Parts: sequence; C-alpha cells; structure tokens
Amino acid sequence: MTKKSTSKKSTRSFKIEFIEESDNRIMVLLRNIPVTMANSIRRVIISHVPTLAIERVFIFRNDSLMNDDMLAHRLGLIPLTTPLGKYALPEEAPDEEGSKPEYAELTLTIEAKDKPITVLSSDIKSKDPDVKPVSGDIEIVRLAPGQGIEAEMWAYMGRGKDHAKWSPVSVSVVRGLPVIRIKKTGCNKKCKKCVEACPKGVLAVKKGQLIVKDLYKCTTCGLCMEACPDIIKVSIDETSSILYLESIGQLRPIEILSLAFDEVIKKLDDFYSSLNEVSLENV
Amino acid sequence: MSFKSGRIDVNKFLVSRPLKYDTWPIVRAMIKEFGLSKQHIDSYNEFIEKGIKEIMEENKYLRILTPNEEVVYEFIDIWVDKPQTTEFDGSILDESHGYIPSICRLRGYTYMAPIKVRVKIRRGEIEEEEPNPIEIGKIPVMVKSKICVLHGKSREELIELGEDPDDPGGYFIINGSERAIVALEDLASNNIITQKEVTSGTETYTSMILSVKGSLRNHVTVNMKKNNITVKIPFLLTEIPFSIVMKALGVVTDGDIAAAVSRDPEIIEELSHTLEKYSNIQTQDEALIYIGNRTQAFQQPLERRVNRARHILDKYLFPHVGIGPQYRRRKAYLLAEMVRRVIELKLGRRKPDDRDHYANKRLRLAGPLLGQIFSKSLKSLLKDLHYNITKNYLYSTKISLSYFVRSSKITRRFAYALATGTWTQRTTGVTQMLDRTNYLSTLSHLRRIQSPLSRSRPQFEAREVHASHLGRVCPVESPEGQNIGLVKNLALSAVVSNEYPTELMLDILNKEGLIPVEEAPDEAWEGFARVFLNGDFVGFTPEPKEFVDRIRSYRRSGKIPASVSISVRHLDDDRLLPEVYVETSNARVLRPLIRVVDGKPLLTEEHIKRVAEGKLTFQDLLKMGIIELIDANEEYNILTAFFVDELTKEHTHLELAPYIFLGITASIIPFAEHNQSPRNSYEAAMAKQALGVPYLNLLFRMDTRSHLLEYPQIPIVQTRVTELIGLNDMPIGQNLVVAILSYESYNMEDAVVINRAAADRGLLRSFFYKTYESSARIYTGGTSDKFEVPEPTVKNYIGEDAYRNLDEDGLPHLEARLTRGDVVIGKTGPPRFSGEYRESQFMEARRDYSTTLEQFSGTVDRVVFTINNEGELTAIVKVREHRIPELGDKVASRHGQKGVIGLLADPEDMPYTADGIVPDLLINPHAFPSRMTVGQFLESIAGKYGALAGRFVDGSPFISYDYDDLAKLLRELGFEPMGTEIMYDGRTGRRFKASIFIGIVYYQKLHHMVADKMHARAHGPVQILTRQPTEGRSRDGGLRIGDMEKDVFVAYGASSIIKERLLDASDKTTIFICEKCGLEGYYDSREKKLVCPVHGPESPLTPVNVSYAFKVLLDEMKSMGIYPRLSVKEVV
Repeated sequence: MTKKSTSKKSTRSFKIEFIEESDNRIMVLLRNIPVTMANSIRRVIISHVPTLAIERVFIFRNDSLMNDDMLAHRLGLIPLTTPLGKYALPEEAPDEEGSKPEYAELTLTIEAKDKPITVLSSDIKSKDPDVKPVSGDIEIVRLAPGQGIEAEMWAYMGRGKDHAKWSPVSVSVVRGLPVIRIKKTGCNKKCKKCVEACPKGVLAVKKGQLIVKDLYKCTTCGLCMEACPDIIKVSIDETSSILYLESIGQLRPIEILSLAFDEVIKKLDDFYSSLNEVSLENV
Repeated sequence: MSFKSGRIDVNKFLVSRPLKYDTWPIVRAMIKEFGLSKQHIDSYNEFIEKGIKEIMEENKYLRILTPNEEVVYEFIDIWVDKPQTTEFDGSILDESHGYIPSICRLRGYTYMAPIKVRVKIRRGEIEEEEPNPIEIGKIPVMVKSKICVLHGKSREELIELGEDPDDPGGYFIINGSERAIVALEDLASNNIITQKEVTSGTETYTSMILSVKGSLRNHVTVNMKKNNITVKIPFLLTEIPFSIVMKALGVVTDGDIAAAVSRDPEIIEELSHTLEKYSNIQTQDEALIYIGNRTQAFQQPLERRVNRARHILDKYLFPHVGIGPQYRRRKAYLLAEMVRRVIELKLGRRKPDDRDHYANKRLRLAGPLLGQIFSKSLKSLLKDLHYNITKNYLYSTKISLSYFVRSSKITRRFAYALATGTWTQRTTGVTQMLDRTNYLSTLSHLRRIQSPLSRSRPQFEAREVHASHLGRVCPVESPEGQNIGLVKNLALSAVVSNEYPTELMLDILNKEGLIPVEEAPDEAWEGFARVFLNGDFVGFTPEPKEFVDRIRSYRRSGKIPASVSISVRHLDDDRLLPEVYVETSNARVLRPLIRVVDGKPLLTEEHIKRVAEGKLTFQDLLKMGIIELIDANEEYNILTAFFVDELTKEHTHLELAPYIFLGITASIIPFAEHNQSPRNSYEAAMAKQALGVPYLNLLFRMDTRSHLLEYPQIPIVQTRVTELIGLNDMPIGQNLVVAILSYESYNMEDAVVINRAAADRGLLRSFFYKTYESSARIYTGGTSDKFEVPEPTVKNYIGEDAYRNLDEDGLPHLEARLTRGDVVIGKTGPPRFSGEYRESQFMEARRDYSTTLEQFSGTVDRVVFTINNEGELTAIVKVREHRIPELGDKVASRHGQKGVIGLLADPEDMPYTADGIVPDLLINPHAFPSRMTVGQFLESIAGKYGALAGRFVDGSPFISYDYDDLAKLLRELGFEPMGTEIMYDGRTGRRFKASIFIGIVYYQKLHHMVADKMHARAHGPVQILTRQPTEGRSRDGGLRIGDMEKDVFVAYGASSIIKERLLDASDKTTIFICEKCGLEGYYDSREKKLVCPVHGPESPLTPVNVSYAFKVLLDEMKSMGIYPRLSVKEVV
C-alpha cells in the first residue's frame, strides 16, 4: 500500500455493512477506518462491555464432593441473560434511594433423593425473570443420593477486564478485508491447483472462469499464491476490516456491538475531558 | 443431558493409524492380567507361602540341655495369619473391627499379620505337641498380597473399604505411612562370573560365585595370580590352594584333579604349578587338616579342626549345590569348572563375563529382603529363648514355649527395617515413602530398580544402557545427576520370574538324556556340552541343540512354567565346548516375545481377536507356546524382529509390540520417537511432579501434603499405554491451545504467557491440601493434654484473634477460613518445665500447646478425631488452599519442555486466528531448535485434528501417524496442513507477517509453585549463637549476601554497602575493651559502671563495634586458655 492511496481512501467516510447476522453471531464490514481503530472496538467488546455474572455465593449446604471454592467458581462462570440498564454498573454508586439495584438474586436448592443426579444450570431459580442462565444444560455438579446443595447467589454487573465471566463474547475478531486479484490472462482454468491448495475452499472454477467463491472465508494464508504465483495475488485491504463476534448469550450481538461503540465513545470523552483538565491546570 | 457413567470410553473415540498386525489386545491382556506391581506382590506371596517355611526349616530345632535331660523344641509348621494387631488397650483388632489399610493410614497403625508356629516338645521319651499355635511375631502385610484383606475383592468391595479401586498395591503401611520397597539390582547368585583384574601391573584372573541357599549368602572366589590358583572360601582365614580343596573334597590324585578341570593339555599345563607346589599334601585327611588349621578353630584339638573344615566345606562352600557330605563330589566338579574358566580366560580363549549384562542380574524384591530380616530376627529370638528357658528351667515347671516367646522382637525388627529402610548397616534406603504426587509417580515408584553400586564413584559401564536392557529396563527413565543409570525402572514388558523347584527340573533333564557328572564317561568330558542347572554343574549332553529343543518343548506345551529359561551358549573360540544353561530361579527379568516359525508369527489374527474378545488369556498363549518369556541368557539363541514386515526365515521371534520396551513414565510421551532422547528422559522425571489426581479415595486419606488438579483432562493425543495403565482415570494435565510465538519478552528464556481469561475459567487451577495432626498426650502423674479453646490465662496464649475459628472442642469448624498464624488445633496441657513453678504454683496451671498455621492460609476441609495406637486422642485437620495459576508457577508439556508462567496476558491482548481462536499459552520459538522436540509439533498438529474432529488421537511411539498423515487429516478439515494459521496481533489488530504454528498440546502443572516458595523479610529472627539472621523460608530467614554477591560491591567500590549488609544489618554489637589488658569488659548495672574483669572498674574501657560472631570467637578462645588481646587506638 503506497502512501498516496492511503491518504486518498481515508478521506472517504466510515461505513458499516452487515454481512451476516443471527441470534448469537454477527459479521460486519467496517469500511474506511484503519484496522487499529477497528481493533479497539474488538478489544472493548471482550473486556469492557458490561454483563451480569454471579459474583457472590453464600453456601448454606454443600454435601457434594466438590469443594465450595470450586462450586462458587463454576456458578460464577454460568452466563446470565443481562437486562440492559436494569442493574447498576460497577462505577455507578448505589447510594441514593430509587437508584438501580446493585445485584440480582438467584438461589440453588436441590437434593438428590434416591438416585444420583446432575445439577444443571436450569436448577437455578432467579428472583428476577429477566435474569436467568443463558442455557439450562450447563452441568454444575453431580450429587449422590442424600447429598444436597443450598446456595444463594448475587449477580453483579461487571466487565471482562476484571474477570472473564463478565465477557459477553466467545469470539471477537477484527481482520483486514482480504483482496484476491486473479490475472485474467495466463490461467488455463483446468489445472485447479490453486483451488485444491486452498483449505477453506475460497476459490472455484465456474463456467470456465476462476472465481472467488467466498471472500470472507479467506484467511489470506497464501497457499493458493504458492500454488500459482503468477496468476493469483492475495493481499489485505488496510482500510476495511471484517468484525466478527459470537455472543455467549448474555446480550444480543447487536447490543454488544452498540454497547462497544458507546464504551469507546465514553472512553474518548473521558480522555478528552481529562485532557481539558490537564490543559486548564497548566494555564 | 446428564450422563450415566463417569467417563468417556477413550478406545471408542481413539483414532489410530491402521496397522496390518496389531498386537495391542495381547499387550492389554498381559498388563491387565499381571497388574503393574506384580513383581512385588508375587515375591511377597512366595515368601509368605514358601520362603518363611524354608527359613523355619533352617532353624527347625531348639535344643535345651538341662542337667537331667535334653529338651527339644521342634517347629513343625509356620504360617502367616490374616492381618491382626493388638489395640492399645490389649484388645485384638482384625478385619471385622476395622483393621484395614485405609483405617491404618488414618490412625497411624502398622498393617501387619501374626506369624504363628506349631511346636512339638520332646523331653526324653515324652513327645507332645503344644496345643495352641504360638505367635512369634508380626510381619507387615503388603497391600493387595494374598494375606491382605483387600485380596480378591471386587471394585465395589474395595470402594466400600475406603480404598482406591485402581490402587496397584505392592507397598506396606508402617505407622500410617506408605512405604515402598525399591527392588535391588543384584549380581546373579549361583552363576559363575569370570573376570580379569589388573592391579599395579599384576594380572589376576578370578572366577566368582555368589552361592545362595535360603538365608545363606556366600561368595566363593577362585583366583589365579601368575600360575598359582587359590580358592577363597568363607570362614577360612586364608585363601586355600585349589589342589588342596579338591583333595579335601575327595578328588585326591593329581590325575583326577586335572581330569575334572579339562582334558586339554594346554589347560592342564596351567594347573601343573599348583599341583606340584602343594604335592606334599597327599591324602584327603591331610588336606582337611591343612584347611582346619586355617579356620577359626586352629588352636583347638585336631579332631575339632578337621570337623570344622568338613563343616565349612559341607555348608559354606557352594550351599546352592547342597548341604551335606554327599555333595562333596559335585562341589569339586563345580570348583574345577570355575578353575577351567579362569585358565581359559588367561589363555585368551574365553572373554571375561559382562557384569552389566542382564543375564547376570537379579532383582532382590520384597520376599528375599523380608526373609533376610526374618532369618536374623528369628535366630536372635531363638537365642533369647535358649537363654531364658535354660535359666528358668530349674525354677519352673512350665516348659511351654508360649510362656517364653516375646513376639515383639520380630515385630519391631520388621517395622524398624521397613520404616527406615535400613537392612544392614551398609544397605540403607531399601524402602522409601511411596510417591503419591500423582498416579503415574506412584506406579513408577513401585517399578523402580536401584543398583547397590556406590553413587560417588564413576562406574560408567554400570550406568550405561546395555543391549540386554531391551524390553526389561526402560532406556529412558533414569534420574539426572549422581544417580544416573543406577536408578532404573522396569520396562512395561518386563516380567519377573518366579521360582520353579530345581529338583523337578532336574528330573526332566534326566528324563531327556542328561548324563550326570558323577557318571560321565571320558568322551563326555572330552567333547560333550556341559549342562548347568541354576548355576550347578549337573552333567553333559552330546547334542546340545536337540537337547535344548526337547526341554523347550516342555515349556512350550505348558508342562513347566513359562519363566524357565533354557539356553545353549556357543563360545567364540572353537576349542571351547558349548554350554547349556537351564534357569528356574526367581528374580530374573523376562520379556514376552511372539514365536516365529518359518518366517511367520505363531500368533495369528484369530488369536488376537479371541484375546480381544476375552476368550483367550495371555496365560493361555504362554501355555500354548505362542508367546514365550525370554530371559537375557536365552536371548543369545534367538533372532528377533521388531516389526512383522521385517521377518525372514532366520527369525525365531517377533517383538510383542514395538512400544513396550519403554517404562511406564516414558510410555505416556506421544511421538516419543521424534524427540531427542534426553528430552524424553526429562519428561519421564517431570511427569512425576505433575499435579493430577493422586488417588480416588481422597475422602479417606489425610496425607500431610497433597495436590489435586481442579479440572484434569484426558489427553487428546495419547499413547495406548496411557489408557492401559489407568492414567485416563486420573489424568495429570490439561489440553491447552498453544501457539509458538514470542510475546514481547514475557516468554523469553523458557517462560510462557498464559491467557488470563483461560485462567479465570479454571485453567491449571489446583487445590493444595495440608494436614495438621496433634495428639492429647497422657502424662505420668495423672495430667494430660486437652483439646479446647485456651483461656487467656494460660501460658503462651497467642491472642484471642488467633483462636477465633475454633469451636469448644478446640477444633475448627468445616469451611472455616484460616489465615497465616491462626490456630488450627487448640490444645492445652500441663507446663513442660519445672522452672515454671515460680509463676504457677497450682496443678491446674496450663500451657498452650496449640498448632498454628505457618506460611500458609486456607480453608478447613476435613477434621478427623480418633485414637492413635498409643491410646491418645488425636485430631487431624486437613486444610485446603485454592491455587490459581500465577506468575512463576511451573508448567511443562510432555516433551521435556518446562517453563514458568511469565505473564497472565489479558485476553484482548492475546493474538487470535481468523476464526477467533485465542491461545491459552504462548511458548517462545527459541525453545525448539536446540532441543529438537519434534514430538511436540506432531502432538500439536494431532491435537488440533483431534479437537476439531472430536476424537482422541493415538500417538504411541513407532506405530502412530507420521507428519504426512496428520497434514492430510488437517487439510480435510479446512486447515492449513502444516498446522500453522494466519494470526493477528491482539493489541493492534494487524496481521502477523508469518503464519503462526498453533495447535493443542497437553500441559502439566508441576508442583513447584510460587506460593510455596516466595519469601522476603526486613527485620526478623536471629540465630541464638551468632545473632546473625536465620536462614531459610521456614524460619523467616534473611537472604544472604554471599561471596559472589559481595564481590559485586567490591568491584563497584561500594564499601559502605558491604559494611551495612555484613555488619549493621547483621550481627553488629558493641563490646567494651579494657585499654590495659585488651580483654572485654562488662556493664555493672548495679554500680552503673563499666568493669574490666581483670582491672576492675577503675580501668578505662573503650566501646568497640564488632560482629557478634567475633565476640563469640573471643569467648571460645578464652575458654581454651588462649588470651585474645585487642589493642584499642583512636581512629584518626
């Protein structure tokens, strides 16, 4: 990429294109921002988008073989659906009356009667219908007949920065948009070496023409280039990035994305205001 | 979604490279049938059943001579009962009362069983049997041996008894702690070993036999120095000329002696000197007198001397041939054979025997070792009995043996030996505390072999891997450092032989045409092969090859045990006759091989199938002669192929499986054949330090320290042996996503970067358990300790806060959080020293004897309250600490690649792939080029394939996938075939220029953790004598500025720092020196004056700053009568 082209393209305005969207995943194309800036969104998604997770566990009874410490840790890792704005963020002091509640209360009371059972996340009862385990199939512990567990859990809002349990995503990727250039002349379209070389099946021959079947699958590994160096050139478009994320389930992917933008803006605002403070002090 | 049984069947999901001829079911059947500590248990059982009776036979009679008559006690039977002991209050404790291994471990008991005898008393004409069996002592019981209560119990029953059903057994429980016997690697007994020694220019040729029979162990050595041949016999003061020994044994004429040695004139020529030199002694009687004069009895009457000589020759010369006069001739022939070998060695016809060859090695296991103790203690018991009965005979009408036997003698001897590992004064370290770090380390410990050779001397040959180790001793697993090559481990395929009676074997040999030595015609001596049975020269055979084949057919048809070895040795020199060796002895290390006839293995696919289905056992295959157990001697007669496709017409055997020559620990390394060999050795040592699941009966054990991995995982890439030995039920690590990538400098020099999010989610977390124990002693005088929360008035009261976790019974409640310095067990007792009476005149004055937590904080996990074997109340408290991986904790892959955690990196900073995979661990690429652990790369690719395909991958050495296979598998799943992927820097989002190698590698968390080691101090305790800071973390010691550190300051010229560190911050003290005499004065606090001990208060005293250690030196000199004088001058 030459300097000239970069400066030329950067004048174009920022654009988001949705490539793929479903209940738990989203892929968007961020046009006309540097990859580092797109990456800041990715980083914020992992560690700054707040969610609910069990932080305090009061164990009144635990006859299982699992130690209390381990049980509490496992409970903490259960993803909980997070009603946005309902609970106070860690930085919001719950001092005033009528302010948001600090935590959601959940309980787990279970006993194995006559045969061994596996305690699942669906056994957790919540006082707030908006807060419940994302999946009911998460195994917590096995209990032998006669064993039981009684525990009360408090779920707090938190951020991935403090513990991975508050991270809303399992996958969060930003990468430059691949660019595959195929020379029109010189390819005999029959050898298919490049098509076979690509493990992801990005290339295909269709109607006697070598084409890019699925650009977004390309990892830019360059194996096709090695197979046919004269015809194919793979590079990265430095001005466009693919952002792909998979939600664990506390929040919808689109919520995560918009919260991430909010968080970035908030961070920039904080930075801007602290800059102002510094400059005022210096005056 | 809930699952039924606990575990995935790994075999069902294991992807293996298809093999043409896969003998895996046979290996599996073999290990399943034999178990992993078979050698110990077999040996112990043999002792309980046979060995103990043999020792009794040696000491069958106890004769008491009284003035009136002779009383003879005859032991007619001896046996070991079921485990049983006497409780502190005298009651009998047996299985029904909870005398079982798990309770013994908890209560600190010794797990033992009574040895009982039946006695017949002969008194003149009267003969009567004692009505009841007499207990003469107790012998520690080997766990899972025949007499153990766990023997033959099903898994469910074992669980019911609080045992781990997968525990291998084969160890003892002494005072509650598990002691394993480490097998001693001895030189083979009863075998002739001929060697050449050169000491200061003179060559000595020696032939040596360690003759063992029952508890007798005697060395007989033939020495040939120049041309003089002498024999060294135990209990004789000097070496005896060969010809005289022969004459004493009844081979009188020179011609007969020479004929017994050889018919070869060249060899006889070598004898002539010895024969001629001592020709003055002609007859057997003269020879016996000659020998008798050289016994301890040399000053006694002639008759006694001669008798002594006879006794020595009959009992201590070659006891393995037989004890008694009827064996003299046989002994003479054996001695002549030794001489022949010495001469042949001298003439260069024969090579010296290889001491390091495994044919010349035997394992000394539990049976013979315990026999040694029993024989000694029994003799000493009989001596005591003799004394006591003789003494009391006149005063007592009772002559029952039970009245005199003190059974504690033998009991204590056994317990002492096993508890300390001291057998004789020279042999120590025979038993060790069983390693329970993880399941693998336990198994490995029970299969360890120790060489008795000295640690300090080089002995290079003895430490090297010998060709005969193949399949017997693991070539990989040995410690680094001074014990290298001396401490070894049994290979997976190794089987230790059990004894088959020599007499029965001799019958078979005779039936098959053995010509006995005594009846051998001249032509046999001239040209037939000699036959040795268990080291005894028994006869000749004209056609050794056919003879050996005939005997082998007995073994191959299951008529004699598979462990019998029959071999013929053709020596290099044509003039030497072949020698046939038949061995039925125990303690030889054998290995299984498949027989091959006409280039085809006898073990067919059909057999393998039937074994896999459980219709045929490994034992059956042995009996059918399809698989043979071969010892190192017989290996001379066979040609073995490693793989089926290597077989030719010449081959006689085929390796059972190519991967079973490794030991247990080395067997868990996947793709081990791709690694540089020392790396496998390092891993073999490291796997024993990995945290995992040490045992399944966690709730029934209170070990002083133990670790438990929170989320142990079955390795995705594993060897077949991993599943076989049960390591998949108690794994020792976790499957980590590993990228080979440097990360700033946080993973340089073998550090690794760990993803913090992974650690948050439970990666490499473990629990550390520590147990505190305290007993309430009962003192003479009616006072005793008491568990309680001490009142603030008791002496040594620590402070209310420290006791806050205790309930009224002095013990903490479960799940109580204890921090450093808190009391775990509250206990008070009477004050210890009489000096304290000044403060506490009353009897009820108490002192605090509480146990506190030091250098550690945790949660109370379990409390046991019991009575120990002294009858004292005992509290045992297990405290657990949750260990989350932190900076400095040690981890290692299975390829000798260890490292410490250098950074817990935030997940957003970690590199990621296009799919969003974030590695758990980053290892630096510099860890690979010089170490050449290619196995780790292959594991990584295989692991990646396994994870993507939802399969376990077989990485067994020599038979697993190669790189091309793995690349193809990975390619099919849409990944780059080399195992690399395009990755992005988490901090910038930019693509790395290079493709990054990323895959799944099994990592182990090793038990070296920062939490156990970190230490710092400012002020702190000092030593009493020198007033210098204490040393070591446990004493809150200082960090030493040593010589090297000092040199840094010297080089820098920082003299004030040296003075500050070495004096001001250490043991600086001010003393007062008398200016007149130069001695140290003191301060008289009553007069408020400085006083010189010589010149009194009037003399001028100067304060001087010195090191307190220096003051001690001055004092010590004064105490020795030296006058140290310090002359004091003003510093200008």
